[in-house]
Amino acid sequence: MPPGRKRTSTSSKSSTSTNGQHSPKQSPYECGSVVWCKYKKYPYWPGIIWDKTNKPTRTLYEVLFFGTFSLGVSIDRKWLEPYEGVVEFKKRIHELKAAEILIKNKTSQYDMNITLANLESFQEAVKQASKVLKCSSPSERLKLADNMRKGVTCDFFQLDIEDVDDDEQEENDENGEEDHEDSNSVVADENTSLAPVSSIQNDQEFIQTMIRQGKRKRTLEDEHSLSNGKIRRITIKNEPEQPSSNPPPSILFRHSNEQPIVMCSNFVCHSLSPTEETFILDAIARAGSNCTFFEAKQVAEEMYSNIICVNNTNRPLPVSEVWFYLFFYLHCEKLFSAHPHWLHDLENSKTSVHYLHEQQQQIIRLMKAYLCGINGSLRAQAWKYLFGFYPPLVSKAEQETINIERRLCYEFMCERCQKEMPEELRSQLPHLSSNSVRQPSSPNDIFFSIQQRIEAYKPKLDWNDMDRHARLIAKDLHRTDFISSEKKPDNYNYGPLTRLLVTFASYHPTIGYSQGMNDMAHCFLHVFSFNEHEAYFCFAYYITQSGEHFTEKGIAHKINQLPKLMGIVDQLLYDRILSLKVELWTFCHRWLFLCFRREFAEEEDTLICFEVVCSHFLEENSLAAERLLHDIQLRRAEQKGISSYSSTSMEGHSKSNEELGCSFDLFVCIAMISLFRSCLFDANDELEALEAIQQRQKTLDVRQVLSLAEQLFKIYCQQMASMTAPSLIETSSYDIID
Amino acid sequence: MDNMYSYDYQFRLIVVGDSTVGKSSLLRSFCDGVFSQDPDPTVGVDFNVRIVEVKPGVKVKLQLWDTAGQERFRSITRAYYRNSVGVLLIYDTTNYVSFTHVTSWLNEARAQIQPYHSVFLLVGTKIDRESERQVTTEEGKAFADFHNISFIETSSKSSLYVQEAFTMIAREIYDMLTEGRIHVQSGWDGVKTGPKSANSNQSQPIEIAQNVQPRRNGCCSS
Repeated sequence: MPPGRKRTSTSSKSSTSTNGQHSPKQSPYECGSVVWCKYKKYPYWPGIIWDKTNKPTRTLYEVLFFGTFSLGVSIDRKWLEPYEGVVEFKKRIHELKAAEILIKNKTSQYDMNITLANLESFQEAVKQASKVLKCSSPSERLKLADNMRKGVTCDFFQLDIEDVDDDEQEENDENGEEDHEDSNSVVADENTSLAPVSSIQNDQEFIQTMIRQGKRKRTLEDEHSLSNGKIRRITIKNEPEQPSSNPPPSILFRHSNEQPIVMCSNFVCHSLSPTEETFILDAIARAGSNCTFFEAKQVAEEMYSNIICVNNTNRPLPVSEVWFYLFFYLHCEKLFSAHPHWLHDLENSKTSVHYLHEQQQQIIRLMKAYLCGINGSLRAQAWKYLFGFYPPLVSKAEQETINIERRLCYEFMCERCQKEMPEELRSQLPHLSSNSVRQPSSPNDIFFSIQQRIEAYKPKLDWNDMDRHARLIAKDLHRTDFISSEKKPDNYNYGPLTRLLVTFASYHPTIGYSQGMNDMAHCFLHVFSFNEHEAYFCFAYYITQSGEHFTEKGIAHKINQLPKLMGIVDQLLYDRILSLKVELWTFCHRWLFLCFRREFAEEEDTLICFEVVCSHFLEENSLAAERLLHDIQLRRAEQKGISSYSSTSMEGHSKSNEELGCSFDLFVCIAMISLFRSCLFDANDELEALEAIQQRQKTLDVRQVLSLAEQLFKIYCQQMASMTAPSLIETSSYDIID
Repeated sequence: MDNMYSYDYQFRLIVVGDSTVGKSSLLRSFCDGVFSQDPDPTVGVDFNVRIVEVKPGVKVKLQLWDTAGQERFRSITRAYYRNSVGVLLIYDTTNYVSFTHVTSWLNEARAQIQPYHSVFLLVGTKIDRESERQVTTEEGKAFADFHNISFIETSSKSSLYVQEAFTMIAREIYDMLTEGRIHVQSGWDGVKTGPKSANSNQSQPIEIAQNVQPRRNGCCSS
């Protein structure tokens, strides 16, 4: 990051207090001291104290940065650290970071993320700093630095002083982060003259990135703040905590080639900035389209090794064997389309190491999925990732452990529900009886068993509230919408479905049971071939992630969002619907509520649609998101007391989703309405329109709907990006409806 | 298709009641003439249409809004009361709890429909399951009399008195319309006049049992 673009944003409030605390301990910096200086969200950078101003409460410094020689003003001393070598400082950063995380319980400010993009400049700065440090007296240092500066053709940047309150500062930080990323790529392009990107294209690029990252939830609110030049960190999707690591572009179900495909997850290794990833991709591209998978792997690993070496103060680190596989997951689309023969390469090679083999298999599966879409056999496996049963990219051994844990946990939960449920309630649910928990055999199993038992018995269950849920469940069981292709047998076993719904309702009192959930639950059971614990955890994940969608407030909220979004992407149709007075968008309620469960004729189509709509979960099911969520939970747990920790954990989910306004299902919804366009335009009044739509129900082609929805999403992104006038933003502010 | 457009009035009715009392079954029995043992629970709001003849030559299009019984959907269903001229309050004769809840449904409907006038009909369902009956005809009738509304008991399975129920409420609304106690108003969709064109010489779209009298509190076998 060339300091030429830096801005000062020292918070007056916080710095005052900090200053007061430790000034007696450390001697104040003098003019001419060489320091590490941290601008918010930018990496620590070597600089020299140029000037200082004594104020009654504190001292503010001006720092001249080495490398590009720009001047930062009004810097509080808490952002300064004495200059040692780079290596020593790295250590210090680690300590500071650890201490800060410990105290504030949040992600640290102390980050030293020098990326390849600003590396050259950084190394130059370090060189200059050590040169200057050799001078013994401060005045000599200043003089030398001044001479250096004069040799560099760089303008002085007089930076604005912003006295902002904490909230605004947050936003500014984010804003700065954006700038930072932009400049990263620009600098990189200048340095290497690779695929030059003009800054004019940035909007376009931004849109493409969003599209590339698939159908994930975006808040309308967020969008408009984007166009406003501000991003608020309110949603899980704003994952990155570190300024120079990019949002992990993850995985997913992507809908292209007319087929949704499943891709895999985000990085567990060292995170790379987009620019760095581009470097690697370019290196692979330079190797030619004929290179084999393993040649490409070698090229990429060399490049990667260079980058992480640079990022780790020139200390080489071993490259993980699986790294390239992970990298491939991320860039499958690009890499595989350029090198279709890789599938062949992989299939012909055999690796002896077990975990590598695993990765290879996954890649092969991924490539195949890319070619032909998810078929039935792959679906159960894919859904476990999609609905957070497994965290992204765990080894086979870990998967087995998780599987055992969750099975036991579910069995204990069922057992507990059955045991503790009042007799009167249980009599309503004759199918509830479950198999008793399997007796553990090995010591390992006993450990798991105890652990999961504690887990399952921890939350308090309130049976008073369960009464109405249980009644409804009992009523609805028989009315569940069974998969059309399979005929419901007379002696159908309602056990799994009952247990699943009752357990869910008991453990999630805020959500409970709502009509339609039975259909969803059956859908999960069906996909997991009645493997109850898998179905349960995926179902629970889906419901809790959908947040308030299943509560009274959530339903109203969704329905209120729809017309607003419609007005943005398809004004004409929106006006038509308004003029028809189609009251309250009746026909969309069920679509949204059941996630289009009843809208397609073929079961397969329904599942495809469901997968695509849910694909954003993979985004959220990433490590960064998990961390963020964990923070939220911790904070809540602190507020409410530890006892309620586990019950709040699910609410944490729904809370963080509360702000998510504009999810992909709304786009699917609008796509469907658009396909019913003729019905709406031909009809004379509301009633005729509704009748026409009702008649044409179940005639839509899922692929047509989804690709149209994707187009609408692009239109929406363009609209939002081009929306800059404040007045426009004002009218499109999507507040959560009370 | 043509006869879809030939009617004199359009009445908008809403069907409410506890979950699983048989609202959707009643409507399906009336509109499609079919009955299924375990229909999917209604989610949100569904709608059905059928034309009935309230008196020879006067056809009325009934626009029937089927609502979900679960409390969670109330915020959606509540919005549908306002534009309704008639409310069918459904309870299950084999489930006493659903009968006790009728009062709250009635009160909610009354509160929401104000200031417009509307007609209520209390409908007991599932009378084919006589052996499981928990609410007697007398109880239903007494309730209806007390609140001064009409009452009928039906069975969607054997389609017993299903047609009659709808004809009954349609006639009652029509009578009030002719008496001037209900008006066609702009800004209110409860009652609308049909397209004026070509409604005289059409054949009857649906035959209605002509012998049923528009009885008040009429009904019932058993």
